[in-house]
Amino acid sequence: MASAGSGDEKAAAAAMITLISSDNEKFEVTEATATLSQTIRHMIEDGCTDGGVPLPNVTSKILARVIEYCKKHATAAAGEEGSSSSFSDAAFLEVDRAFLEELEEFDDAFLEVDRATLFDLILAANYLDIKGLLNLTCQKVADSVKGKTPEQIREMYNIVNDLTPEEEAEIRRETQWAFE
Amino acid sequence: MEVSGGVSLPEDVIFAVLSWLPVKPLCRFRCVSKGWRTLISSPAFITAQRSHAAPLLVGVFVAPASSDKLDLQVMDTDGNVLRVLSGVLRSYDYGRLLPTRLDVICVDNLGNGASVIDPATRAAIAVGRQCRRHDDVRRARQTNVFGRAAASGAYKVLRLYERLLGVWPERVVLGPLCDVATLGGDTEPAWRQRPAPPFYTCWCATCTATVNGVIYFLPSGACCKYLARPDVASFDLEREEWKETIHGPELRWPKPWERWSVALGELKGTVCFVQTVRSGLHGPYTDVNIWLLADPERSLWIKEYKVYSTSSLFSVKPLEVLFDGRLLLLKTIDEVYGASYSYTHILQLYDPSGTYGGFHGRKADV
Repeated sequence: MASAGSGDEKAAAAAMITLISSDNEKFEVTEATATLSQTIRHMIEDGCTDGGVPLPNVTSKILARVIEYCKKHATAAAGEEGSSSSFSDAAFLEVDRAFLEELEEFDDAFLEVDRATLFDLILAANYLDIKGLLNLTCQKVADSVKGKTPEQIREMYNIVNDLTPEEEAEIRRETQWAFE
Repeated sequence: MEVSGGVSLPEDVIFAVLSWLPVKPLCRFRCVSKGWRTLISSPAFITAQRSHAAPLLVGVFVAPASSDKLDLQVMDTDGNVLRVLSGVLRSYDYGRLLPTRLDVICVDNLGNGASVIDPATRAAIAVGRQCRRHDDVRRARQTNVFGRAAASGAYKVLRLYERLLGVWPERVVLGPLCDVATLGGDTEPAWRQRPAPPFYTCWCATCTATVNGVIYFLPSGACCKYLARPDVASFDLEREEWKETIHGPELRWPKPWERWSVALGELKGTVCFVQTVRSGLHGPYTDVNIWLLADPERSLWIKEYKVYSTSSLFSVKPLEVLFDGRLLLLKTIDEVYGASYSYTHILQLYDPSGTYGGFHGRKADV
């Protein structure tokens, strides 16, 4: 991946964890990358990661994307811990800003996927309990439905309207302004 | 949530996705299905949504087709008006909206007491009205500030006022006096007299802030005369006592051609001190410094934000830090027409790590 050089050198020194996808593909990642997932963090704490961590709910295609996200954000988390939260240091702020911008660009590019992949990422982030990724992907979906009507939502997601016409009229009357 | 491909999202994922939506689409999506209606109305969902969403704001607007009637509008930060309450405020002379962070709207009617309005039901409670004349003692000036006591959660109102004794030229002004009352029920609350403030405080809304059950005040005239390090008085609504005076932050000394103003507000759960320095002749520019109170006992302030604008602004007040770290600012621009002033208020999102966000509507007061 893009973060060759120093990233890999550090990785060699750190403990490695093996993640196994539902289609039996193995992924080697550093502990720092893996522990962005609370689910895996708990497994490591309980000492049950020897011989790899099987993830029967995540395919290799999705797991590769999730690991890509975790690698990028693990370096960000390490950077944050290393520095005090001093806002007054202008030089630090400049470096920090450049890095945050880069991270934002990464996130934007990361989300350029089709809807099915996006949903798979949400499910994986939910299962692996990766807060940042879950928030990111959920916001993306929320943005795409923000301007839709209830009819469009039902159509997009094949939802059956089980409200009676009276109930629906009641909701519309209560919050008329929301439909304008 | 059935997707065309046959994938279905578990309910906690739907919960997570919807919690990122603003109020308007959520109200609409209540009629998608029974499941969605129940989910969106549940207290757990409302809490989650509030922690992500930008806050709703209440502003005063001049009612259309009328120059003296004022409307209260509940709006979101995208400028969508969610609800209009008309006829609540009669005019600027009669009442002013208090900058609070409560889930009720508080209006200070100055000498005529104050009122609290529930934006959902329009129910209003008036307090302190009949105290206007008290035996033969007339109340000269009065200001009312609202807050919620930290531990008990009780809504309380603090009033500072002066009393006039006798008739001019032998008139004596007593004060400032300080009373507190707990709100609740429809009846006039019992006022309890409390000690006078440690110094004569400013009675304008920008020099007052209520944070976590403590009301903060700046000294009288702090908003219009230069004080290098103004003190901050604070009143604890739970114990109903004045706390030790806090020294303000070391302010930036303005250059001879610059004008300035100061204000108190709330950010990140603590009181903030805002200094706005603007160009007089040279410019135009506005330089805003925002400090957060880190330790009230040691009077320790931390300069957290610096906002620079290339136009000359009357004041800039931070309202909220959003989930993504952007600052919601209320900018006030003043224009002079001969002898009269006109103020335009603009809400703007400011990204401390980058550039300005969008422009989001105009308001008369917040």
